[in-house]
Amino acid sequence: MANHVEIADGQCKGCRLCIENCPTHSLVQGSQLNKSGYQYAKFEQHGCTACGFCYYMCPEPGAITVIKDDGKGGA
Amino acid sequence: MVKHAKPKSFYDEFVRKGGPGEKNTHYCPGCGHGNVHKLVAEVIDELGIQDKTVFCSPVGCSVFAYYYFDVGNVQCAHGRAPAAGTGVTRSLEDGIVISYQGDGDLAGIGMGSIMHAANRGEHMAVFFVNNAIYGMTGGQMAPTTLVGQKTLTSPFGRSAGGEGFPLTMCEIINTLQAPVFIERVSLANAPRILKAKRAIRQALVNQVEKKGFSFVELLSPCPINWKIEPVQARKWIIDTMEPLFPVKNFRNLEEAPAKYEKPVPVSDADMKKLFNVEKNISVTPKEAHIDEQLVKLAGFGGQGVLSAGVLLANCAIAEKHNTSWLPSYGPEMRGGTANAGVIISDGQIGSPLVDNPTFFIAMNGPSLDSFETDILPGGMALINTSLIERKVERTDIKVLYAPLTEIAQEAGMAAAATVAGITMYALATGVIAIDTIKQVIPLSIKRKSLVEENLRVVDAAAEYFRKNLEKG
Amino acid sequence: MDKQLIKGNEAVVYGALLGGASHFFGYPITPASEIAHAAARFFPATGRCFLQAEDEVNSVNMLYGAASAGARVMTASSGPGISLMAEGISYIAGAELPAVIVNVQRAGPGLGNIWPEQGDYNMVVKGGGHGNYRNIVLAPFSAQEMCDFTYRSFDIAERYRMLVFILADAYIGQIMEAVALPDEVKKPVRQDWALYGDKESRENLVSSILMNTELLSTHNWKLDEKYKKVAEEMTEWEEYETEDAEYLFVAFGVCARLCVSALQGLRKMNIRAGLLRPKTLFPFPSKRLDELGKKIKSAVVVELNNGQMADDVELAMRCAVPVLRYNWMGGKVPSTQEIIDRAAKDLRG
Repeated sequence: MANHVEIADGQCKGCRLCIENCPTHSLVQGSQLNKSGYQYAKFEQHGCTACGFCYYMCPEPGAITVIKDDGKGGA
Repeated sequence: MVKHAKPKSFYDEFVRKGGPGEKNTHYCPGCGHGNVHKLVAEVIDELGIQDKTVFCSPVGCSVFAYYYFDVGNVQCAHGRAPAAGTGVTRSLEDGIVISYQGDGDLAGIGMGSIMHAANRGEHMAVFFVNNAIYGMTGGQMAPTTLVGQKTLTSPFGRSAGGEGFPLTMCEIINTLQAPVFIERVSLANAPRILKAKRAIRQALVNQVEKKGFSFVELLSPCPINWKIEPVQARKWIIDTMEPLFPVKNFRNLEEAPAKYEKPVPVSDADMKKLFNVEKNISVTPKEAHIDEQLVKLAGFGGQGVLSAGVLLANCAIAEKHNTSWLPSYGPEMRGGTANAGVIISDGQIGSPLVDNPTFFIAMNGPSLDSFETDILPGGMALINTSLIERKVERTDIKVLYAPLTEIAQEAGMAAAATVAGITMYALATGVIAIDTIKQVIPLSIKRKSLVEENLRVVDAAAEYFRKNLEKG
Repeated sequence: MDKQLIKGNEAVVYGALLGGASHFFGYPITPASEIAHAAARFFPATGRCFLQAEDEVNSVNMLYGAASAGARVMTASSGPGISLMAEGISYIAGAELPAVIVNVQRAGPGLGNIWPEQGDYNMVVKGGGHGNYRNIVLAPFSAQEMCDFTYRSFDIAERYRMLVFILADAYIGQIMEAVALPDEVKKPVRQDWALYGDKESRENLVSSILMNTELLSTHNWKLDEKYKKVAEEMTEWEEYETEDAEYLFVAFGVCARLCVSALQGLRKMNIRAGLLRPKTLFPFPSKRLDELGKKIKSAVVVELNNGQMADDVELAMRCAVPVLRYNWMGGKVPSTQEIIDRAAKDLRG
């Protein structure tokens, strides 16, 4: 599976820091609200390099997980 | 392969915050604390120090850091995390101490605490989150608030004339000798955050390697109180904060300029030996029961009245009497005299105050003037005629006149005139044996070189007494 | 060990070290400074930690931190310093940390002077800082008790996870008397709530913040229960000639010493006076005072303050008898004769 970012919807506070700092523009703000009322971020594959910028910009401990393609085809 | 995920030094669920299942922090959207928390937790993971870490959280937005960090946690009073951290680091052999503080906590109320902890080179990593405003209390002026910045308590903008200039803590800490690592970093964007992580890592590596005090200031956003949305707030750090608070390393020493020598433990037996301040002597006590002795010695400072009183009290203990010694103190201190009251008794000693002495030793004129009227009727007074010219006016007491200073001087030590006084007290009352005084002196006098002189004074005083006063 | 002549303030340090104290954080102040002097010598000499803090605010917070890490901690000060510690003392109570503070009282208010007073009674016995809490307060009246009370205080503090105050005064600090040092050297015991920087203690949290009103309410009531238990288990006092006493003197610290002497004088005048000397001020010997209140004609509370303990005596005796207040302030200490003369006049009627 290609590089990608998993977002825990319920933990996102919609601050957009991940979106603005993503070099490949692979993150967008969704239109739906989570339980806390935030418009949470969504991942869209635009050549994610698993650089981790989104992870480091995100103030929430567990909202973002970055997965790098290890060439084995699995997640 | 998971490349970046929630560090395991965070609790999986933040039960202390909101019960089982809670995963969110209490921080506002876009807050910098979450970034710093994540970096610190990652480094704790990487260094394998989760068990050893004691996290001292401040008062401020990060007061609840213990909700999140799965390490030992101490929540501290406002500004006092460096003091509490001092207590922790001085107690734990291998603990890793983190003091996590905001700008009000560290640079406002806790300025003294951080400066002194830094100056002592306490073994702790300080993470100073500077967002130029008070967050938790709702956006008031901080010590680091910029000139012109509007807050609830600087509604027209901070005026340098009235409220001073923002404090630059790295520069201030950098004036001290003891810290080993000082760096200012920024959370404005991802590359800067990665740099911040390196500084945090160095500060914690320094703790693992027991190098000493390490200080990292993090320029951090407070979008809610700045009233700027999160993305713009990060830009504001670059545009407005970084020019005033330069992002750079200020110091990175290989080792601390001074080391704390940890005291060496001693055995119980050695400790007791250490406490045996006055070695005991054994004297066969006299059979006879003594009347309660209320002795007052008075003179000018430097005449040794206090230490002569201690000598007398030690003699009393050697002869198995009860005793108390109280120095000139409080309302007793009159006429510029120093005095000590010694009580010797075979019963319980109630009041330790010698209000009305049964025996009064006057070493100088002002002392006699002060206390002559206090002497108990039927009591005794010993007058140092070397320094007191007048006679005692009281007729209801027994008076002994002796040139105590001259006697001591001739025996080789004028400063021991009070010892001559004690000697004559012993002979006049029979309460203490001269032999006891001579046995106690070597143990009671700290400067061993003076023992011989003191013993000679005792002999000379005893001789004078027997020649001139005994018959009287 | 045989008895040796030791100053009250120094006896504190011997008692502390034999009692297992591991850390002393302090700041000098007259008339308590000899405690810091002796601690500076003997704590390091016995492998313990002495640190002169930058001020009392920080010394009490160092106590807080070290106690969190399971250390046996103490400091010593006098009124103005204790005032500065008030916040930290409240935190210690809230976080339920064991610690020992010696207050060698001087005269106030403000800078006052350095002579003896007992004006810190309310501040120390009732709490002094913010919130609902208590300290255990021991009131020594001799150099021996300065040693013994400090020696015991660390065990007591750990048993109840409370702050123990040694409430002395300038005279009891300055006095030198024959002191027998305790034989057994106590050792710190691992506390299951403390932070030792290891896996077993990692889950522990030292904190006094509870944002949830329900939780904080529960915490307060739990503390209150604990204070009641303390009152049941460790109220201590000493009585002199109370069997046939018509007049009961109540005094602590140096005043109790004065009263011991005054009793002798009054008894010689056929005034049947007795003395109750609280050794613990919290918990207060209220029950015993209540009992004695039913057997006497009046009580006389002798204090170097404006009648702070007399309020508690009156409350304990539930106004069964008149409570006379003999008070001196500002560093003035009465002579034994002054007390005798005043009592003779008042009590003969």
